[in-house]
Order: sequence, then structure tokens, then C-alpha cells
Amino acid sequence: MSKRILLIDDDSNVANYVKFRLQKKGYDLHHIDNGLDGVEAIKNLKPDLVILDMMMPGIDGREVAEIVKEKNLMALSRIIVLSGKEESEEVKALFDLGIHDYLQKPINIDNLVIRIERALTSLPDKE
Amino acid sequence: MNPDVDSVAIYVIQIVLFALISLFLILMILVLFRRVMLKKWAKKLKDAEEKILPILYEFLDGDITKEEFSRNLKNRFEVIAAFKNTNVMIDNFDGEQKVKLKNLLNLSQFNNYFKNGLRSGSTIKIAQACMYYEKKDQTEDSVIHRLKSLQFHHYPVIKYGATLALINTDDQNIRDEALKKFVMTGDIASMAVNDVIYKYCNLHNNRTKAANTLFRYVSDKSTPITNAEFIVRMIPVLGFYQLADDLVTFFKFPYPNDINGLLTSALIDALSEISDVRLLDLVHETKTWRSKHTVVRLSTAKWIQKFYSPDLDPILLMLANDPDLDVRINAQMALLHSHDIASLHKKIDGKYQQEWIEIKDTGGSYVDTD
Repeated sequence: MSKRILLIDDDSNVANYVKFRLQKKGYDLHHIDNGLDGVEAIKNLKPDLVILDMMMPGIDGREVAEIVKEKNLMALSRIIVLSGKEESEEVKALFDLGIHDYLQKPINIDNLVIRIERALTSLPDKE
Repeated sequence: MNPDVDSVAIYVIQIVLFALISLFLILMILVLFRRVMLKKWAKKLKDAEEKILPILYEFLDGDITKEEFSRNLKNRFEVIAAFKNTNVMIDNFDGEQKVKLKNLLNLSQFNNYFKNGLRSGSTIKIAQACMYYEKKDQTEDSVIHRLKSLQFHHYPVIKYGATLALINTDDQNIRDEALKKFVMTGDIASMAVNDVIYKYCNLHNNRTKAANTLFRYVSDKSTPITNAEFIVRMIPVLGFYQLADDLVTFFKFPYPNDINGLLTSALIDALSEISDVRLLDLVHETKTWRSKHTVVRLSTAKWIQKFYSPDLDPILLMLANDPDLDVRINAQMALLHSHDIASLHKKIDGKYQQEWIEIKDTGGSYVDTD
């Protein structure tokens, strides 16, 4: 069965191309354009991996990661964060929240695909 | 009453009414026509985008060649849709995709469309063309003259776009001239000045010369004061720490027309960002905490917050009792560094005690001092 990936990003320009590229790779990709619906989609879709943009209006990526950690929504999944910021404190705080990987914007799509594959192979077996 | 005069008057009124009604109807038809056309264009653009996007993605993934992509751009809507998305994707993606997207800008369809757009009378087309020439690897010589004239355009966004496109040439003289014209113009938004300066300095092959050029505009009294302020604020961002000596000298003799204190405030912020210790003497010499300008007192409070020393407690106390809330909060946050908070506590004015107690008790954790 193909792995399920949830992309939470308000930037349709980024999302459309990432979606195109990952669907071509055979992933079951879902896209949500805001943090609030993103949290709901995590609960309902139970994705194997979430690609989470930091800068979003309303609930931003960091808040989504906080809710995910607090409610233990992704114990058997992975989160890769996309962010325009590179402050080490911010990145450290994100890893403390349990994210798996971090990629800076502008996105190198080939790099993102490699990180996704790496994250998915490191997934624990779901029973 | 003369019946002939009456009938002439009625006739004139009838003609005027008829003319007014006709004019109103023509205007209504024009408005409706415009709305219909705008809707039609929006739909055509949406359709073009739906057609072009998958093809653009296929090109980026190497499934089709640049020539094959080019063959799909059959009308101006498709050219606009392709450029719009290429332009945004250049900013969002890196690596091989970015190189491919940049390369796509050399397509003859883009070249022809934007060359004509630059010469048109349409503000939108001109602005789009400026954006195109700014994004292209290099602005072509054939459009330089037109871009220079657009630096005098009455729309700031076109002045800004034309300047960026001119800075995108490989001729340093053209870049210098474009920067000069832009910086010497008043009423420009800080973001526009920052972008222009950033691009100018990034493309300059000699960083020392670029830094000196910037400082020349800061010290030139004919530079609009706000632009001088924006440039000073960009100096630490660009890493031009070699300008610290110049900034220190300039601090003592700034523009006489710094009537709002914005330039002095920018100088404090910039030297604070550079962590220049000479700021301590400068603040004492010029007594910035007593400035009549709130922005100057605020910058002083922020600087002390960053580089606190117990010797500065008397200044901080004055700022902690400042009539301006932002200045007070920043000064009170700086006071938290003091080892003598108990005795300082009594020196905060009664009417500001409550906010001081809140800052003291929470460590100012709820305050965003930026």
C-alpha cells in the first residue's frame, strides 16, 4: 500500500508542485491549506508523514506541532517542517516538539524527496 | 410671456435631458462591457493557468523540453499565466528547478511580450515587464533607455521595478546611476529601499565600494532623510561593519534636518546591532535619553536592554519613568538585569508601579519588545 502523506501549506504554488512530484512517486498525497484543518486531517487521515509549513495565517506550523505533541497524534508517524527561518533556537524548539526533520525554504524538491524517503524508512512498524 | 421663448426653452431642456440620458446609457454600457470583458479575461487567464501548470511541472521534472513547453504558449493569456507561475516558483524553489525556471525566462514569447509591455501605456503591463527584467539573468541593453525613463514614472511601484531591473544589468555605471536616482527620490517605502540596496550590494563585485557608496548617500544632505534612515538600518543587515567608524563620526554631526529623530534612532540601532562599544560614549555625549524624540529614547532603552551595565542604572531609571509606554517597558525590561532591583523598585513612579510589578514578576515574558 502506498504511504499516505499530508502536506499542510497555505502556499498553493509550492503545494501544487510538491503534490505533483510526490503523486508521481506513487505517494497518496493530501493537501490542506491551513493549520486548523491540518490538525483535523491528521486525526482523520492518520498519515505516515506530515510536511508542515511554519508560516501560515491563523494556527501556524509551530502551533500545529504543539497540538500534535500534546495530543500524541503522530506517535507512529513523522513530521518534516518547511520554514523560511533559520534561527537555531527556533529549529531546536521544533525538534523538542518531536519533529523528525527540517528543510529550509526555498525548497530543493530533490532534497525534500530524499528526506521523505529517509523519514518513511525509519518509521516503526504499525500493528 | 412670449410663447416662442417658452417653446424654445422647452426644446432646449428636452435636448439637454436627452443628451444626459444618452450619456448615462453610454456610460452604463461601457461599465457593463468592461465588467464582461474583465470576467472574460479572468476566465481566459484561469483556463490558461489550468493548461500551463501541469506542463510547467512536466518541464521541471524533465518530462518535456524547453522547446516543447514553448510550443504550448499560444496566446498572451498563456504567456502571462506561464510567467506568473514561473516568477513565483523562482522564489519558492531551489536547486535544479530554480535554474530551469530562470532559463525559461529567456523564451522568445516572454521576451516579445514584455518588450512590448515595457513600451505600452498600461501601468500593469509596464510593472509586469519591470518584474520580468528584474528576474531575468541580465537586463538587455535594448530596454535600458526605456527603464531609465521609467525611473521618473509617477507610480512608485514602477520606479521601484525599473530601478531593480536596471540594477540587474552587468554595467556597474548603470547600476550606480539607477541607485542614485532612486535613493535621491522621496516618499519611497522602506521595503522598496531595502530591496534596491540589497540587490545593488549583492550584485556589486566590490563590497568595499558598495559600502562606501551607501555611506555617501547617508552623509549627503540632499538625500531624503527617510532614505538615509533606511540605508543606516540596512548597514548591519548587509554586514558592512567596516562602516562603524563612519557611523560613529556621523552620529556626532548628523543632518540638521533630522527633525523627527529617525536618523539618530537608526544610528543607535545600527551601532547597537554592530555591538560597537563607542555607543556608550556617544549616548553620554549626546544625552539621547533626554531627547525630545520618543524614537531616540526608545532606541536608547533597547540598546541598554541589550548591553546592560550597572553604571547605566540612573539613565534607565529616567527611561523607566518615561511618558511613553514602549520606552518605559523596554527600560523596565533592562532594569531586570540589575542586582539591585529592590532599591530600584522604589524609584519607579507610583503611576507606573503596576506595569513595573507585572514585568518584574513575570520577567517580562509576555512583552514583545521588537
